[in-house]
Amino acid sequence: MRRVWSSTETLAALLLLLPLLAVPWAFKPYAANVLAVYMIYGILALSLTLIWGYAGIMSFGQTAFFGIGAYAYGAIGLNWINRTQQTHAALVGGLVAAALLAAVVGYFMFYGRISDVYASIITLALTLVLFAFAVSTGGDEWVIGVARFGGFNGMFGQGESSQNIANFQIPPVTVWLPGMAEPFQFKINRESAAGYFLVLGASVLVYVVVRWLLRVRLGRVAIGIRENEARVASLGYDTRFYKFALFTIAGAIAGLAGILFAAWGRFVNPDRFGLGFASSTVVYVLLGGRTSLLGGFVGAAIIGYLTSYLAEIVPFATIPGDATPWMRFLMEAGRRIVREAPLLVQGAVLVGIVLALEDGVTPPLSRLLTRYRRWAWWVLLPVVVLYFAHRVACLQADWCLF
Amino acid sequence: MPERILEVASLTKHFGGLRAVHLDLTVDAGELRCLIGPNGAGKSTFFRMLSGAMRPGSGTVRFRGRDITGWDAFRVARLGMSIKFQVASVLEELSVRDNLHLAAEFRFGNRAGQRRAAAMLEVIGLTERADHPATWLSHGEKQWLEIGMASVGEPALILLDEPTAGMTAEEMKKTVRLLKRLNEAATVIVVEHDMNFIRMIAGRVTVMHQGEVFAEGSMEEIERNDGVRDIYLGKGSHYVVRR
Amino acid sequence: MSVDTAAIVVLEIVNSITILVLLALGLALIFGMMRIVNLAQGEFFTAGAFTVLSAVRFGHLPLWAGMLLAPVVVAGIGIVIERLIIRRLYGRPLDVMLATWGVSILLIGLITVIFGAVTQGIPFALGNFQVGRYSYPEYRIVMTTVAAGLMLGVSLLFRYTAFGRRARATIANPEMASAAGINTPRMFMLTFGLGAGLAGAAGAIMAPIVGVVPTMGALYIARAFITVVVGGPVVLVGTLSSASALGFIEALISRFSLFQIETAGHCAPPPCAINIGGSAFFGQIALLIFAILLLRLLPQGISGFWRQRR
Repeated sequence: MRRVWSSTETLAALLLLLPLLAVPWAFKPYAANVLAVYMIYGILALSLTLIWGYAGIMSFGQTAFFGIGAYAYGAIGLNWINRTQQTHAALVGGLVAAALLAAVVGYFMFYGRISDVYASIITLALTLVLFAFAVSTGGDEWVIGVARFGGFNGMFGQGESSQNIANFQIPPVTVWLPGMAEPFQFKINRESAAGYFLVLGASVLVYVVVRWLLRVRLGRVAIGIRENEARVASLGYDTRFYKFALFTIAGAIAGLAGILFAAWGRFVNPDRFGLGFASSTVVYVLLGGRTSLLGGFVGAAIIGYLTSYLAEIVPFATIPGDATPWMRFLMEAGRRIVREAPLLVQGAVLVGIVLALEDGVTPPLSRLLTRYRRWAWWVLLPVVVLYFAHRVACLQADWCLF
Repeated sequence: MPERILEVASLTKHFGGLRAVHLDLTVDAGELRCLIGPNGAGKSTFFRMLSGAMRPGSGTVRFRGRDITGWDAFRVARLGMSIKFQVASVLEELSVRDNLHLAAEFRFGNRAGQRRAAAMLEVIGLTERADHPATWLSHGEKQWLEIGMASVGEPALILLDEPTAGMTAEEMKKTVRLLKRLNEAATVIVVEHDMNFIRMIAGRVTVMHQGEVFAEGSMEEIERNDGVRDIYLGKGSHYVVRR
Repeated sequence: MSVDTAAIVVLEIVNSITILVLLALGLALIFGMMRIVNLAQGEFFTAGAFTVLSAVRFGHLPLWAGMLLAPVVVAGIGIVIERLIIRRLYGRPLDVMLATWGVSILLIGLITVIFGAVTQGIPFALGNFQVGRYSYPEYRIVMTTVAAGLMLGVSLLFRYTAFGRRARATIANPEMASAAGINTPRMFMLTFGLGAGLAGAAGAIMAPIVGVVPTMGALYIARAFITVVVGGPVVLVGTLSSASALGFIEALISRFSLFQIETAGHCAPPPCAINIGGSAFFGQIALLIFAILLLRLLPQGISGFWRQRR
């Protein structure tokens, strides 16, 4: 058992977790804010890894459960926050809504013996219909209590009296347990990184739970289904039930990510049901590696960073007046290509990975880590720790070496 | 009079306009039955219908006194019938131990399943390879693993579709010993092509031809039967060529 | 219900069926026959609409010329994609699905780069005709005629021409077909191109009645897939029967409000109520729910069910 603490897994966990724990003190709040949303997308991607990488069912619908979780959290939270000062019911409601939708859809798909390809198509249709639904709720009549759906603009709350209408946002995750003097809000700002740690904690929790799930019977049967469904059925397992159960659990995990998202941005709009978001989720998983539980997080961070980096570049902001028509055309083209770069990059990653690099980037990375384990323990880990220690010292106490 | 474990009455399957199977068959508990016949005689189709992997067109299957016609595969398995498919279909990315564990678990639960899997590893002689992924096994080893998976759940009836396909003579002898051992606890039906293997097993033989039972009896009786010889070698051989 | 209302309802049902047939026809070849889950099909539709737009706006061609051009251009795009990407992935259905999704996203990006993300309209000259108290667009009758023509054309093509026989042989059994001297890769390529071209034709025909925008394909792809899936294995009969069943439901729910839910919003004028039914959106919801129920009852689709019964 001595080998446990020195295993690659522990090493990888330390290499990832130590820096993540230090982030709120080592960087400005903006970094924590951005990393939190990467982790939220990572949780969403993990739900897809579970159902796709392990049970072999490609679902385009994880974003549907994400969106339902977010909207349900928003609707319940907006209505109850002023009365009860906490969002316990909203948290539970968001999870239940997502799991319930997944269960209903899963029941019809798997007990209806729809083949896997059809299941993918139905989940895609589900997402697109929900998008159409969310968009069409712009009118004044689309309200639940004080929560307005708001169509394209996203969900917000509207004050009680019709004379003096005040709008307010979806509340952050707020707890007020017995024994606490006042409610506690998980926010990410200059004063507090509680929201960041909430998301980090949720990520670790979901990761651990999924790891455990894959080791008990449910996970083993799921892998068996991916390998050869008929064989597993002939061993006496009702494969429909296992697929159904796994799909529901994955839906709940996606819903949890949605809740965290709505609470993080205090906002949710129909884009969460959009094709763009659905495709980026698949890209995260593909890029990170289909069967790697950390892959979704890695993919989300890479694509997220790349996207925000590309969004800041504006080439040829001013086209000089004396440019030749050809130059003018090329500059205009360059500008437009960079503007659409996130889409183009996603598409290229999808096609490229399917054609060339099957495994994504995480498995090769973890193989590297295993091979150079001793190096990583004695050099990489200390360097990472020292770097972050320096960042913290520099930002908090102005002890900067460079 | 021994209990009838399996009774098949006018079980039929059509593919397009072609009748693939039309079969009546009974098997007594404790038997070791061999099912032979040329390619395309409908043996694998028959197995697939028994085990629930394929729905029969018409007819009935009674197993342990219950009508299981058209049941889902998993329900048939739970009632105590297990199958080794013709194409080796072990779960390639799971370890050998996990393959067996999965097969034992639904019957005995997690812990007891682990013990039974370990015991079965001994029986099929794969203990040393227990933690390798099944995809690393040789062809013969995969066949044994499949046989192990089919029997670790202590079924009442085991269907084995070509367990010795592609095996060396040595491996085949080992398989015969394995089968006899399994037969002590369960009824076994084996589909085979290899006559040496059938002789070594020395069970009752059913000959299938064009989807129907053509002859039935001990191996000696079958070998003396002119019609059977025709199917395999003489007049019927056009059938083999045409597939 | 008065006579003219009934007539309008019938016309709307026919229109719904028309649109579903137009959307699903190309996909029925590519997915129904070739079993390729082509998620770029929606962008083939978009490309058809943009071909018409460019032909009319930049080429100063008449509308009908643009509409004839569109299927040819889109079939070309389809053939290029088949050669570059899909050909390498035959036998790996899931990878094809992902790769075509990548293609779909790339195409949306490229079209946006070229044309910008704004919604554009294509003007056309047809008017309305009167049905009792209602007026109804003449163009919809044109659409129905074209859809019927395309359907008939495809059916004749596959039944009576040498190409059709070869394509059917290839799809039924590629090994046997190539042993019989058929150039099967070419057949796959041409069938895929034909399916793409039909999507392009659908996009071209529908361009004047919808907003032309790079992301328009996403609005139609789901309905197209649902129609084909519900249709089942017999391609043309299946597509027509499922388009009829689904189009019927969609048109009825889009037309008639089923009930109202009162809400506590701040409406002007009050009271606030949500109409369930009576809008295009609820028509689509009803279509999806109906399709899922149908598939629960008939896992093989409508035509699969009839084939089993025989």
